[in-house]
Amino acid sequence: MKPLFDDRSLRTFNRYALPLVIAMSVSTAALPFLKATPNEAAQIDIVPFYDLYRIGEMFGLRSEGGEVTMKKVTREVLTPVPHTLNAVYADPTRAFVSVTDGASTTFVDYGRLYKERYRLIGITPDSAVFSAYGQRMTLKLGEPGNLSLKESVTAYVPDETAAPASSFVLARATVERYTENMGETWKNVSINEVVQKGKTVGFRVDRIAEGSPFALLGIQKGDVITGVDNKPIDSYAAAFAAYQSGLRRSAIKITVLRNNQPKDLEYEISR
Amino acid sequence: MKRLMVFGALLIAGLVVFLPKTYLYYTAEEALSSARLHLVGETIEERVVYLDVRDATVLLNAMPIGSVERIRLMPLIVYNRATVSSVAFAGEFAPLFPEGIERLDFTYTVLNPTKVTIEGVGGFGPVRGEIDLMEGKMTLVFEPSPVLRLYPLLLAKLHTSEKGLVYETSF
Repeated sequence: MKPLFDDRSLRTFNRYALPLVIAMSVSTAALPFLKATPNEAAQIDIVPFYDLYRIGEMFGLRSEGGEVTMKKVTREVLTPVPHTLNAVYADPTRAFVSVTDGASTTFVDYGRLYKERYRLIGITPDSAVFSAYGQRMTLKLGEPGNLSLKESVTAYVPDETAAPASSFVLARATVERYTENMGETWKNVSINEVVQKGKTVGFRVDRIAEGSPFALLGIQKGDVITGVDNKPIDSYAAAFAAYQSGLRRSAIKITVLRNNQPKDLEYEISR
Repeated sequence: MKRLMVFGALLIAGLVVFLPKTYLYYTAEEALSSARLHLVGETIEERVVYLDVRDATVLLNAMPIGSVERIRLMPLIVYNRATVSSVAFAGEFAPLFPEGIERLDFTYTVLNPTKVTIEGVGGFGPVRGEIDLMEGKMTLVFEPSPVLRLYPLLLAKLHTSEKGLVYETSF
């Protein structure tokens, strides 16, 4: 009786179909380990408190303006300026090149300065080497190239070294101002949830602006706020409620973990 | 040898075709959600060798921080690429990238298994960089250009090196 599959057809199967069968089997076997449904927006735990949270702080980003003291930072940037090497001339008595920046053409002798900043330090039959700002820049004959130009760029960034205020009195007006205007608060502090075993145990102060009322409270960067007035701060809602209730208090006790040691910070709010 | 190569090529081709790309995307999405980063409102189109995710809104801590017109995931096993196109930022990220990001390519190959290379272009000019998976470090190098003067907040985060203007972050 003739077999259903002869050797030839089996070899063909092994060569062409078997790898595809293996690939399909591997893909199918992987399915139980992969997620089959999308993350629906409705499943995301949207907490209104987040509306007040400055997301950019997590990345060390800050907005300009407000009452944050800004400082001027100037950086020097090398920007490319298009140039083309038109011609190279060299003989035993003189060597020079012809360079154009698109607006004008200049002949530059070997060893001389071009545009008072680029010194021609090398010539080959098809290129010229300039030196400026401690860097070498090569232009190839007939090809578009660049000579770098050092420029100053100015940015304004928050000045974290601004001198702190000398007074340690926390006036009620200050409390009211920061309680009612959360935007100002988040310009001065950045806090993040501390979660252990899936449960919120407090809020870590990751940034605190020097000289801000929060720094004067004695709260330090790295402190984990675990309670206010003996009530645990174990959720954003609890933190928000404690913060908002500041308006009605004449005294407040904040419990923090500093260097893993609990510490109570007690304050009176003056009239 | 030739048969082995044909076998290997067909095996890889088969894996590329039969790979459950949508499931892989959902799994990646779940991994991102642990960092409180979510993509919502997207349309998913699975093709033979790639997956397109269109019109996604990016949420960080449930706050919209931007939108992505298209993410093309191309898992070719030995050469994997994710192309993110037309990213527009909102909120506090908008001053950083007022023109958004035109395109960002993330490439991972088995030839360089510890690194993901990044190439892209935006209103700030070209950017390139890499993610070192072993060191947990991402480096982006922006090309010095006059247009960067329009991005003072971004410039404040960069430092100058021989390669260009460098942004570094760890994770």
